[in-house]
Amino acid sequence: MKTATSDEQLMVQLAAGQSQALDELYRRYSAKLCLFCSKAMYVSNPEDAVHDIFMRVIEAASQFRQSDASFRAWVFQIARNRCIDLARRQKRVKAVALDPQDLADDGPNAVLRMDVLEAVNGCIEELPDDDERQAFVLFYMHDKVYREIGESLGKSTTMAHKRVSAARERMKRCLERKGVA
Amino acid sequence: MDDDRLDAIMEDWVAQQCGAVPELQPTLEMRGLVTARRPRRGWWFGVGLAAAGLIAALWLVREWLPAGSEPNVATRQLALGRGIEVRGPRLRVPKGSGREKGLSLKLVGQVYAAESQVIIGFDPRAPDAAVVVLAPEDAYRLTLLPSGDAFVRVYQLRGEQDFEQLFPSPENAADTVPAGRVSYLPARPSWFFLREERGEERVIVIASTRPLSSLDDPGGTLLERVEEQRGAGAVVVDFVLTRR
Repeated sequence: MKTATSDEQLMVQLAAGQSQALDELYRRYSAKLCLFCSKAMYVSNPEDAVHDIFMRVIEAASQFRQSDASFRAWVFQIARNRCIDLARRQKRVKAVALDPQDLADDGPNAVLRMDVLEAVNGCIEELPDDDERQAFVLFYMHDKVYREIGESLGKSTTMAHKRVSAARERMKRCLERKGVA
Repeated sequence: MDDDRLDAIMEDWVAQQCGAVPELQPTLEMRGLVTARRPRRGWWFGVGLAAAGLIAALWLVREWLPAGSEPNVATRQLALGRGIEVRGPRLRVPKGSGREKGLSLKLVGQVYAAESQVIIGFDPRAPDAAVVVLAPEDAYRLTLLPSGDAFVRVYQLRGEQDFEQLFPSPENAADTVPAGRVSYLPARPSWFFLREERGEERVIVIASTRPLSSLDDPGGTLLERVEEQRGAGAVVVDFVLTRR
């Protein structure tokens, strides 16, 4: 069975000039980065932010060292820093809502019902602390690896764990309040 | 609600939200930056040849070039502070823009006013006279948004025979600008600087869906070749900057 190329191997290929590696990294991460930038960082133009993030990835490709951090933690660290810059230049806007029509409830194939989806979006917006919100969203992007969450946020693993735990408790209470069982 | 239930909801949320994101792809500019990293065959031999050629060229320049000659335009990087104020028009990618018939080009120039440390946008098709007069330390750049992938040339002229090609350039070897996103010329964080002598500089931007290699033909003047391209359907925008 052929093993998929790891993110770190793709970075080596990208640094060597192989644009297919860039295509694959884009396929793997652009949607999650877009989601992180819009829902956790409140960037009004997340697609532009993703472009800026990958430009930085390309510029810094030869400096990326697998021993320092995983690619996933590294690229989200870049994303967070870039989104902080962008957010400073824009009026704070609510998390960019995807057009509800794009997520139309198409019956049995829908993953989440529209009311649950809106409740989750609303509860994420209600998280009072920026670090908690970012840590919470990263928890599900980083397959619950606290070390990577800490690296992306520039914090210790222990602090990342605390932020995630606090956010999870608030989310559970909020969703229950909104009638999500 | 227990942790497992929350995790199930959130994992579905991530999957559903990611599925709703439009498919994003690397731009031509990005791919060009990546492929430019490839080592060429006989790379070191080429480096040696290039070094020898450069030494010879520098010697020739020193021997034959009239004293005081300098390029019209220098390109330098500027380390501008984060949160620098930007005034005037700026390009934004409109959502939901569909395919247009023919090529259109949105173009906004930006001047960096060094004394006041602000970036000021201007419309090259109707430039604000106050904005396009540059002080010695000022710089400018162009932002482009074509409706389709476009071949682009940018020239700066101080006379019909005294011109310089700004794009493509050794720093920006690709000669196309992709559709659907704002491109910067020169690429950020670089800016163009006018030469020290006072006077007017005319900047001409040509964009076309077809290659613009005929602009390199030796026959006629550059302006005549530009007009030929305009007649063939290229978008041509020209404006004047003044060095005070």
